[in-house]
Amino acid sequence: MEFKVEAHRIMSISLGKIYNSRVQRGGIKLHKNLLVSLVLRSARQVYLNDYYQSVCLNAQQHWGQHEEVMDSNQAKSTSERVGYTATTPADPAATTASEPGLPAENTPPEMTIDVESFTESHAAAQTEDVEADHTDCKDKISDCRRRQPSELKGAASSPASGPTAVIAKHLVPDNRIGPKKVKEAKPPQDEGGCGEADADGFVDDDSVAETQLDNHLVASCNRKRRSSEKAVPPESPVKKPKRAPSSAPSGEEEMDTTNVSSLITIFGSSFSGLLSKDNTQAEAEAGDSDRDSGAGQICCDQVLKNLNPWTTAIVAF
Amino acid sequence: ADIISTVEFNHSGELLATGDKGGRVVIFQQEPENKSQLQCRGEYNVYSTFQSHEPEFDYLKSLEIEEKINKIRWLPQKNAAQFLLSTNDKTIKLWKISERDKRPEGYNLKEEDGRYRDPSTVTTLRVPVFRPMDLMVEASPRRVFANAHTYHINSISVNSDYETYLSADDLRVNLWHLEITDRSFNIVDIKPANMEELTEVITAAEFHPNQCNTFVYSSSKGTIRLCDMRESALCDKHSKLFEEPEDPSNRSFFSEIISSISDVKFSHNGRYMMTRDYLSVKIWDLNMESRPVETYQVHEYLRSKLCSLYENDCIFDKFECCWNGSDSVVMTGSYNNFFRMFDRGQKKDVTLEASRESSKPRAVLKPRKVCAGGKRKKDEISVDSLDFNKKILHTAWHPQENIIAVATTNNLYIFQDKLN
Repeated sequence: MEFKVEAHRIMSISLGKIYNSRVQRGGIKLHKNLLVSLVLRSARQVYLNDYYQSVCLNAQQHWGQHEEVMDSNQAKSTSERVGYTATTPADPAATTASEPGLPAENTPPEMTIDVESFTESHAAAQTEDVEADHTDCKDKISDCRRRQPSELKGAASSPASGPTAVIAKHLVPDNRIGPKKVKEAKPPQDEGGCGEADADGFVDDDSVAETQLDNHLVASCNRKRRSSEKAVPPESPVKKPKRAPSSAPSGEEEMDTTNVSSLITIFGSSFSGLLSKDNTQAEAEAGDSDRDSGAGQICCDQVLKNLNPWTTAIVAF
Repeated sequence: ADIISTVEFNHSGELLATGDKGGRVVIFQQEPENKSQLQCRGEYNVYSTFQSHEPEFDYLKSLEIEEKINKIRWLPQKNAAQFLLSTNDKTIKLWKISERDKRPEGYNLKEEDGRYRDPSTVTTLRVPVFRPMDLMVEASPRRVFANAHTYHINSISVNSDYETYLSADDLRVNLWHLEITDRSFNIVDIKPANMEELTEVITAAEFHPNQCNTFVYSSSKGTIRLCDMRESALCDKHSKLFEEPEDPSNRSFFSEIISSISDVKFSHNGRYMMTRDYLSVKIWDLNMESRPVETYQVHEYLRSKLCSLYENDCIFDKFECCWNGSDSVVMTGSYNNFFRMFDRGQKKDVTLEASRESSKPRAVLKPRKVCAGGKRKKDEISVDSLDFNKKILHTAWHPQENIIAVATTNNLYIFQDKLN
C-alpha cells in the first residue's frame, strides 16, 4: 500500500507545480508542464493499480462467499470448493500474496504481453490509456476462455479464483514502479498457492466453468471500471466514501479527503465541471447491478469524459 | 538579476560573452600575452556591458516576457567589428560591438563639449581632425528578429554559410536570414493538431558545423532528429533518428523527465554529437542511430534521489555541455558547484569545484569526489551534503586553448591549464 501513498503524494506535488506555473513570471513553460503532467499520469496509474488490486481482492473474497452459497445447491465436487476456501483465508494479506500466484505458472507469456501493452498504453495520451485498459480487460476474458478447455489439471485452479487472480496478476507487474520488496514477497507464496490448487485435483464441467468464468470476469471488469472512475478525479473526494467498497480503510479515505479538498479550493473553477459530472454519475449508478456488462461500457465512457476536461485544464495553452 | 544564464566564447577565443537573467550581456576580452608575467596566457577583463533585452508585456495574452538571455551565439568576424546574436524567450537581436579609439576634434560650429557656437564669433575655418581618445566599446542593435515564436525560444544556431541561422522554440524551428528581419521560414513544426495529444517538445537545436544543409534537434523524450534541408522545405520528416532504447530496470516515475535532453552539441569536426540528459552525457556517431558510442555518468548517485529532486524542482535543471577544441575532452556541470570533465581518449574523468573557498587564485584545482554511500573517506563529500542550489548549468571551452569558463549562479570562473 505504500506506493499508493507515494503515488498520491507525487500527484499532489505535481498538481501544486502546475498551479504555481500559472503565476510564474514569463508565462507557462510548456516543457516543464509537459514533464509534470507525465509524472502525474505515471503516479495516477500506480495509484489506480493499487486501488484495483485492493478492490479485486475484496471482490474475490465477496464472490468466494457467494459461490459457497451457490455450490451448496449443485452436485459439484466439494474438493474444489475446499481448495478455494483454503486459498482465500480470512487474512487479506495472505490472499494478496497467494491469489496472484495461482495462474503464475501457466500464464507467463500472456502476462508479459499484457504488461507490454499496458506499458504502451501508459506512455500514450490519457484518453488512450483508459481505452487500452478496457481492451486489456476484454483480452483477458478471451484469453481465459481459450485457456480453460486446455487445462484440466494443474496450477490454473478453480474458475472463480482464476479470472480475478489473472487480473490481479495483470495489475501487479505494473507495480514494478514502486518498491521491489512487495513483489519479492510474492514468489514464496506462489508455491503455496499453486500447491494448494493442485491438491484440489480439479476436473470439472468445462462449459459450466466457462460461463461462471465469463460472468465473474465481466463483473470484475465492471468493478475495475467503476473503481477507476472513482479514483480518476482525485479532486472529488466527496464521491469516494459514498461509492467505495468496504476495502479501503477509513483512515486512508480521510487522508485522501483532506489533501485533495485543499487542492480543490486551489484549483477552484477549473475543476468544478468535473465535480458536477461526478454528481450525476453517482446518482445514475445507484441502481446498477454489478453483473450488468453494459454498465462497464457506460463507466468507461464517463471516465473518458472526466479525463478530457482534466487534461484540457492542464494543457490550457 | 545577476544570475548568469549563458556563456559563449567567440570563434577566436579572444572574447567571452555572458548573458544574465536581467537581460544584460557582459563581454570579457583576453589580454594580449605578456611574456614577462608568470602565466603565459592573458587574463580576461571586462570589455563591454550592455542591456540586450528589456522585460516586455504581451497584451494580447496577458503574459510577461522575461528579459533573461537564453542564448548567445557569436558570428565569425568579418571586419573590425564583432557581431553576436542574443535571444530571450521571444526576440532575437543582432548586436554589433565596435571599438572607438579616435574622435573628431576641431569643429567650426560646435564647441568640444557639444554646445553650438554663435556663428558671428567664427572668424577662421579649420578642418576637423581625428585625435586619439580612450578606448570606448559600443554595442548597437543592428537587427531585431521578433514575433516569430509562439513558445519560448530555447536555442539559436548560426549556419556554416554565415548567412542564415535557426531559432528553436518548444514546438517549432525557424530559419532566418541575418539581413532579413520581417520574415523567417518555418522548417520544423511538431505541434499536434490537438494539443491534448502533445507528448514531446523540442529542447535544443543546432546546425552542423560544416554542412550547411544539416541540423539536429533534440526532444524531451530523449531522441535526436537529424534533418537535411535539401530534402524538403518542411523538415518534419527526419533523415536520421537517434534513440537509445530505455533500460527497463531503471524505470521509475521520473524516467521520462531524466531522459529529456537538455543540450545537444556537434563536435568541432562534425563527426559526432554530444547530448546531455539529467544524469549522463552521451556521444553519438552521426553514422549510427541505434545507440550512442560513449556514455558518461555525470552524477549517477542522484538516481536514488529523484523524488526529492522532483520536489525541489532540481530535476528540471537544464545542464549544458561542451567539447574542447580537439574534441578529445567533454565537460559538463553538476551540483555543489562541481563540474565534470571526461577525457574520451584516456577514459579518465575528473570532478572539480568552482568556488572561492575551495581554491585560491592561481592554485591548482583539487579533484573532488562524491561518496554515494557507505563509508565516507576523508576529503569526500556525501550526497546528502551537496548543495543543490549551487549548480553549474553553463560552461564553455576556448576553441583552441585549454581555457574554460564555468558559470556558477552569480559568478564566472575562468580556469586555464597549468603551463610549465
